[in-house]
Amino acid sequence: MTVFLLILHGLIGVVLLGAITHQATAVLRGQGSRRPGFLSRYATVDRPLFTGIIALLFVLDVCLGAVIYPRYRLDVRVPFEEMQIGWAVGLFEIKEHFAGICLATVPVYLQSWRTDCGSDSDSVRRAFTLLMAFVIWWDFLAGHVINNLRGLT
Amino acid sequence: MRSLRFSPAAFLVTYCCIYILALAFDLPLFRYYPLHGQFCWGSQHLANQGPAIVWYGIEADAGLLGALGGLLAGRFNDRRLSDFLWLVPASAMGVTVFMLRPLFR
Repeated sequence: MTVFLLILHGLIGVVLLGAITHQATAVLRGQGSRRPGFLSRYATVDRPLFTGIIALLFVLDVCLGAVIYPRYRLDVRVPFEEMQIGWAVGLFEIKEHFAGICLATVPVYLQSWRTDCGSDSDSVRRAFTLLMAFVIWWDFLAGHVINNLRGLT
Repeated sequence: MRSLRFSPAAFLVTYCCIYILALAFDLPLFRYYPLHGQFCWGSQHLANQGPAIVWYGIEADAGLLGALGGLLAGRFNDRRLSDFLWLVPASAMGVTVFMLRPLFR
């Protein structure tokens, strides 16, 4: 069951990574540049739909991570501590805290994409989308490294 | 009767402050000991129960007090802070990395 949940956690992470990267690219390209090409098409997203899906998947993925967490604490972190691989423990701790703190940004992120108040709203939208993209990328890569070092069985 | 309004900005600020304080001063709402599936309230430690999970308790602290802050400050004008609001979670993340630096030595 834990392996199934871990794979599901990873798969949701992949979908989340794709969605937030599309949205972050769209935010970085802005409204001005509309030259046809790969990036223009890549940055074309259904913004309200993507925002809701990203928020939902992020919360779901953190919850799944929280369900698997006890197995990590017993079967992975304890051996890491015994082997004195402090950086691996630290990497996971950063992943856990970034995800926990980023949960609190979800309401502002949702609000920033729902309201259209001109340039003020654009800067908030850009900042929170990029922050979420950073955390999702970091957490995905850190999780991948930890799983490569010692996965759950 | 005034209807309750929720302020996402106040929720974010309260949540991040409580999260960092709970982490820095070791004040989770509860601890979970996964080896025997036991819980204990507050900063109390149980002996011979294996490793404890503190993160759930910190999340509970921050989530509950953050929601309270978001509701109490429901009429707060979010726009005043909006341009700098991203600095709050970004700083909180920076503080956690700083606190975890001994693990990377």
